[in-house]
Amino acid sequence: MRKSKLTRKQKEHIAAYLFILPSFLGIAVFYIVPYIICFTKSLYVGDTFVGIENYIQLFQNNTFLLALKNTGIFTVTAIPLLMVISFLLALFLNSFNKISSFFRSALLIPVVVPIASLICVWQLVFDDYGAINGLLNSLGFNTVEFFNSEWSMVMIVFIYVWKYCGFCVILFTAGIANVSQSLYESARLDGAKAHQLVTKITIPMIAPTTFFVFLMELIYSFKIFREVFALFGDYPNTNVYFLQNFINNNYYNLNYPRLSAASIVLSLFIIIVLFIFFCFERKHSYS
Amino acid sequence: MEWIVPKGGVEMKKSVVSLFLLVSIVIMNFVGCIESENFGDVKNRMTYYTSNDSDDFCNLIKIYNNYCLQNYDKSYQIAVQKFASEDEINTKLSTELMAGKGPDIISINQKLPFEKLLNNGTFLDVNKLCDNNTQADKIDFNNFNSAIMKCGIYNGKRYIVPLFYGTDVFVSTQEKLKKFNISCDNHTVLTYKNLSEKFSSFSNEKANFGFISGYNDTNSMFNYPIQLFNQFINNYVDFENKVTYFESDDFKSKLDTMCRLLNASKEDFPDFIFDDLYINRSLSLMVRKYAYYKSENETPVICRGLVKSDNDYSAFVQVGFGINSNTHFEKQAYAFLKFALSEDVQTKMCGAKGISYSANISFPVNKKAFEQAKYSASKQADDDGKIIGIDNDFMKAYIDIADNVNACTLYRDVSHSYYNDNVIGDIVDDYINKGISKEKFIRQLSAATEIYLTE
Repeated sequence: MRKSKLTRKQKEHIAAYLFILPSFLGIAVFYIVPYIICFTKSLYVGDTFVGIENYIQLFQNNTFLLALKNTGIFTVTAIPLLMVISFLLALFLNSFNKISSFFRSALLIPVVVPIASLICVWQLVFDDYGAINGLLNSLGFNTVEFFNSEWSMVMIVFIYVWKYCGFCVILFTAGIANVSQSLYESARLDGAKAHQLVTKITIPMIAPTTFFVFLMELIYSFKIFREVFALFGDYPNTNVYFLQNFINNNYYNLNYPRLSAASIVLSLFIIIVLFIFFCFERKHSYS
Repeated sequence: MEWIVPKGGVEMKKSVVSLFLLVSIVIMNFVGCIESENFGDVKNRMTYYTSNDSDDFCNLIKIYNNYCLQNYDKSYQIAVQKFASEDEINTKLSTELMAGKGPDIISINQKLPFEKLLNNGTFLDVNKLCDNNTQADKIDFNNFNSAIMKCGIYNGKRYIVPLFYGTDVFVSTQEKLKKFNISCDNHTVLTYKNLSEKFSSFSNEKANFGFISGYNDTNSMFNYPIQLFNQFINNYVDFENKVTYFESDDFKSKLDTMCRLLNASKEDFPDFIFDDLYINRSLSLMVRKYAYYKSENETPVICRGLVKSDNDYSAFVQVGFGINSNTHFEKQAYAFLKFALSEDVQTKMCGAKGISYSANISFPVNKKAFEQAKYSASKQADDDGKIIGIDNDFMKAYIDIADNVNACTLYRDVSHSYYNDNVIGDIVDDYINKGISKEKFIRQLSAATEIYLTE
């Protein structure tokens, strides 16, 4: 019998590559190749190569800038707000010795309830004749047009925070629970106050969890388009017109050069934010 | 790693075989995605997607396909692929166009944002296609109605080719109009401005009369009152320069009149002041209509409108198409274009020669075919063989309107267009049926339209 000339190390490498091949193929076919095609299309109009002209036009387009501004406002407002609220709630819950499984499940309900059902409820709540306006009117205030005013953004931020808060609380609770109690005890012996325990021990020690929560929330913040779309349709009012609306509408308008350029810009935006946070996390993580 | 690469190598071989099978399954699935639809020799012909294969454009394709068998060969034929719905077509179309493919022929009756498509290179420049053609008898666009053909031109490039058109007119009788003291004759122009004044004495509650039929045609699903309302809205949008005029006092003041008109047509009244808008409008059929009214001892009246100003002679394209810029069948596309614009086909399709192919087509864009249609209409006779002809005020007014068109829109069924349905459809519906305030309506309308125009 002929003996294989491959070394054990080489065999291991081949096996490893073969194992990752299906995943790699999937990623290549569904992500890498489309991304390259998308980038290529962003440099063309029809069959004509135009270089970065599509990008220049994109940044001269007022609707794109509006979408970029709204997406920026939403990301900058909603994510920190959600993280702060969920962190505070997690701290509060952590003060209890035991959290019942019912309570844990209840926190996750908003994430698992189907969007269509949620939208029906939000429409009832935020409609001109809905619950909130009914309450406001009974208190003598004017009707607030949540679906057609600057309040639309507030409404979307509120929905986002409500929906993902429970999920983040659970992540933060798990992170906080993993911080060694001996650190707190030592700090207390040294005379540290409650707020110092949080700022000097808890926050630095849960940096990996915070990073993970941020990453998840960034992803979820781009998924909020589903709610916006279901509530406002393809053409929402100018306060909640997001980058995803711009991309989605340009798909239906068959404007592929602009769509591709906008998608590349959006992906770069996410990559840059993640890169900055990665650097930040590496620098400040105690773990 | 021991379990992966054991010393004996038997398990290693098994793992490799399993992996190979897995990879094969994945690849086979992808291949399946590409070749899941087998349409025979469709790949060697031009294609056209539709959800209604009995409309006028499909009828034209059927005639052309038969013509190809006699004059060319099968490779010149157009394969019509039927889909269950417009949405299904749009999804497929979007994906295919993005991949550099798609149907070769795109009809303007499809629900697509043509204002946008004209701007982003989806369509082939037909002028270029004609220039590239080496045949001796080239298409001369001077032989067609320039006012109509102009609506398919954008930035000097001819992207859409209109084939047939209709004019914005209302048909009624003096007897009906007199009931409400409405003074209209064959030279009257109904504008958004004078509509309120002209119909001030019209009250549908009293007479059980609607303004216009609210009846939905089973084929086209036309809702005439909504059509008029959408036409009115579109008159205040400059699609080319991307400007809206909804905040103007002019729009605000006329909006109330249009709402009144809508309300006067909403209910199911037994009779209407004006006939259905978009059917029976070819010259031959209009002659018969004139004869019918006369036989009923009524005097038919035709009014131009609704238009923005007295000088507007507005029209809409009934049948038209564009050629996908990704097409590999330029020679075949040119042959179809030439066929569709030919005098013979244009004359037949509008019912001026032989058996009428469609009752929905009014006028051909071919000037000679138009003259033929006039000649044919002038020879129309009643059941007793007596010539009715076109030598009467009613028909003269109608021909004059068709002859002098100076503004044309791409959409016959405005309510079905991408802008009016997908962009502002819900807003209009909220205003008409859910009673949102006028200010809120204008605000929402402006915001959605401005985003649509500029995005």
